[in-house]
Amino acid sequence: MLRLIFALLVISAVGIGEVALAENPAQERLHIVIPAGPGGGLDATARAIGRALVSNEQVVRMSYENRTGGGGGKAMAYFVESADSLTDTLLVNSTPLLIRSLQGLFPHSYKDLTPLAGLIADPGIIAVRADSPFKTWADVVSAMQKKPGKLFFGGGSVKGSLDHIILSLLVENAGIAPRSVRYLPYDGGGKAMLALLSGEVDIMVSGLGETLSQQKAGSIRLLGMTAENANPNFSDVPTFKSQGVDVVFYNWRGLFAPISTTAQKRALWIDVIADTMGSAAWQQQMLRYGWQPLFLPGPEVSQYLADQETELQNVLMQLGLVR
Amino acid sequence: MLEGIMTGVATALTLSNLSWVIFGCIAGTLIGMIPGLGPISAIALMIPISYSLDPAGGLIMMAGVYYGAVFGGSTSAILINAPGVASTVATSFAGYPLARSGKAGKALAIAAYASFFGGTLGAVLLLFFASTLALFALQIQSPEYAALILFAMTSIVVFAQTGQRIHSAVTLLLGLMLGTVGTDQLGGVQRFTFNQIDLADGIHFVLLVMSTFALAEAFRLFIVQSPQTEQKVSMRDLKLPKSEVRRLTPVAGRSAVLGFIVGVMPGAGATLASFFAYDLEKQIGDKSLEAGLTAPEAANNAASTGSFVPLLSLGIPGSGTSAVLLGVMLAYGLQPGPTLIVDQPEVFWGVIISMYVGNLLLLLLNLPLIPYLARLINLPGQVLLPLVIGFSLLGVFLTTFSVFDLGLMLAFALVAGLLRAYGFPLAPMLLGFILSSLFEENLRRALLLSSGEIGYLADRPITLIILIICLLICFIPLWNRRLA
Repeated sequence: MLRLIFALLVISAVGIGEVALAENPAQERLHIVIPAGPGGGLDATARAIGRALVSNEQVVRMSYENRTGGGGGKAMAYFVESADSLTDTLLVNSTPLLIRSLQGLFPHSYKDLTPLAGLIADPGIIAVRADSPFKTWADVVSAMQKKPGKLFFGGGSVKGSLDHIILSLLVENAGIAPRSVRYLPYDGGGKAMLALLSGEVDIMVSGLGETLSQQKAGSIRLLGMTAENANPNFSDVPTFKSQGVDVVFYNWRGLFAPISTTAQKRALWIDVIADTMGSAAWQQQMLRYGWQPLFLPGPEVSQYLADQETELQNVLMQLGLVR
Repeated sequence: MLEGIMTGVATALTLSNLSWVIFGCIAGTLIGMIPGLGPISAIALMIPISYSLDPAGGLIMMAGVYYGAVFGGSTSAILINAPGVASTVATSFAGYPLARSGKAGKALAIAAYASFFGGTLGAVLLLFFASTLALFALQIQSPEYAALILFAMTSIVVFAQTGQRIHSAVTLLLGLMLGTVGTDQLGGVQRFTFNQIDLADGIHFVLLVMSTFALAEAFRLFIVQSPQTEQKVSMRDLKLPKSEVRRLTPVAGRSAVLGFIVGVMPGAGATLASFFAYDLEKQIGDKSLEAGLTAPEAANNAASTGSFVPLLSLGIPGSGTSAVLLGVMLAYGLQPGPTLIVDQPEVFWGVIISMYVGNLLLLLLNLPLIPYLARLINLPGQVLLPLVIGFSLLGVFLTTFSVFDLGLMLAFALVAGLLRAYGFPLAPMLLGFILSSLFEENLRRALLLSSGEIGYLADRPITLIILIICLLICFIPLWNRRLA
């Protein structure tokens, strides 16, 4: 019995290798470190790109490792400190990584990694209940201007993290001080959604991927998303830009290699990822989860990260959360 | 609906799906038996396997894994006082003494029957009341949660044994304090972490429970050297006498209904349900150890089923486990929620029917195993205790992969041993720890919503009623003294 338990543990720790018999795969194996527990968005992203890499015959054998702790800090520390001994190992990460290192939650930042490519982008959304009097974002803004401090905004993450930042960018654009907005944090997007549906909060700020199903079910209305362009797949979700609110912000998820990665190896990985992201397998995964593609290879992703870091720094200063 | 049930039966009872549910039950039980690995870990571990199945088959296997892990967790709680998940802490209260008193086989059998009863009744309630109860879930907001948790904490102190109330209050507060270590759930600020990244996520529940329950008990047994009574366990233990069945069935019934209702409330879940059911039996119901074991087991299984209500009817995960299951469903391209029953009836009904099937098969698979499991307790101390210690440390290490945590565990076990030696009960500490962040989060949100005013209680009758009950039960000890 012990042996069986042990076997199960081994299987689980390594993840079941998904094997494809490619004739000339770019990589024999790839190990992805996930700085979050199983079942969440980062985990889903890592496993989805892994499946696509295998079915696109770029990688023969995939394995995954969930390293939780310290809000992603432990995985970062592991990846940075043992960079020299990691081979064929990548790290999946997302916007909250930038936010947490800006807030000094952990000592490492994206600059201690080699950015390979952005994979997906999830715009922020503002949602109200279907029976809410607010029809547009402008309605919300004018209500806030008339009676400041009356509206409650719910989000799925702590103060100063992703949802709060998206909300702050939006209200700042409307000329309202982000610090005056009443933001209630919940433990995860699901509970924030429940708070919206139950009427505990008036408005919810979240990500598009997490809210599409409720929108489809007709229980909530999305007033806008912080995307650059409207998406034909969700034509009834207007962008804020189309409403004259110039806020574009994405929660990106992307792949990183250790800092010691050679330029040659980096180029190889970028090629592999680029090829896979054009494949039908990846398109299918994107559609399943309601994700939007964001392919930014090497130098572009570095620039993107630098820009987003500046933007985040500004908001966090406005909120008084960093100096 | 009948048509739906038939679809579900047809889906669940195909040969391949049946074998997957059996596989799931076995794997879940084995994983769940390891202290520290509960239903969440078990389901997460099985995710890669589920990807190779079709959605209905995968989810049906997961149902088996889930129930298996819940049962496996009860086994370690009863046999070695190592409740690996919060929802089985109450199981160890009566289950472990029962097992030590020479009735290990019976205790395991009762747990299996009560789980089966709770899970099955829960599935029936889910079938008929899912949509009604979803509306109820929407009535419960932060103030109600805060009040309910306050009630749980008040009752564990008030209902402590006479002469133990102050001790219980002290350890409860200690648990609340330990729960504040880590990142503040609302403000994102680090508290009491001393810049240790290992403490940034707080003290892990498994760590605390393993050190204060399993390790402390193992150390105590080393010192006390309690005389070993050879227990004879046979298949006969599995058959409960008729009078006992008659006595325990109502206990299981009311605990399951209570558990289901508490389980429907997102976030409250199986832990609160099992504590409530245990307290209720101890106070106004059947005071025997057997009933004390039946109640939390029936309640936590019914509550686990109840936590599917918000998932299936609102598309919102009500517990950690259903959040992981939501991830599995999303990976299949399924969207749980009000539309699931329309878009994918075979999946919706398949899941519900597989709950019955999973429960039944689990009972049939595990009953023959019980005599073998129960013999564990006959292992001589010099074999059993190192095993307990080894498994506790392993369980924690597999959860957090941190050596720092192992040191922390030993420190906690030492303190817990001292507390026990001076007559401080440790269960309130664990309850305080489990509820600490939940209580703080909801209380602070409630205060933010009301701008710190107390007048808003008038608009919230449920909160008001719960708070009044909290106040009233404080007088029960006085009342009892007067009667005596």
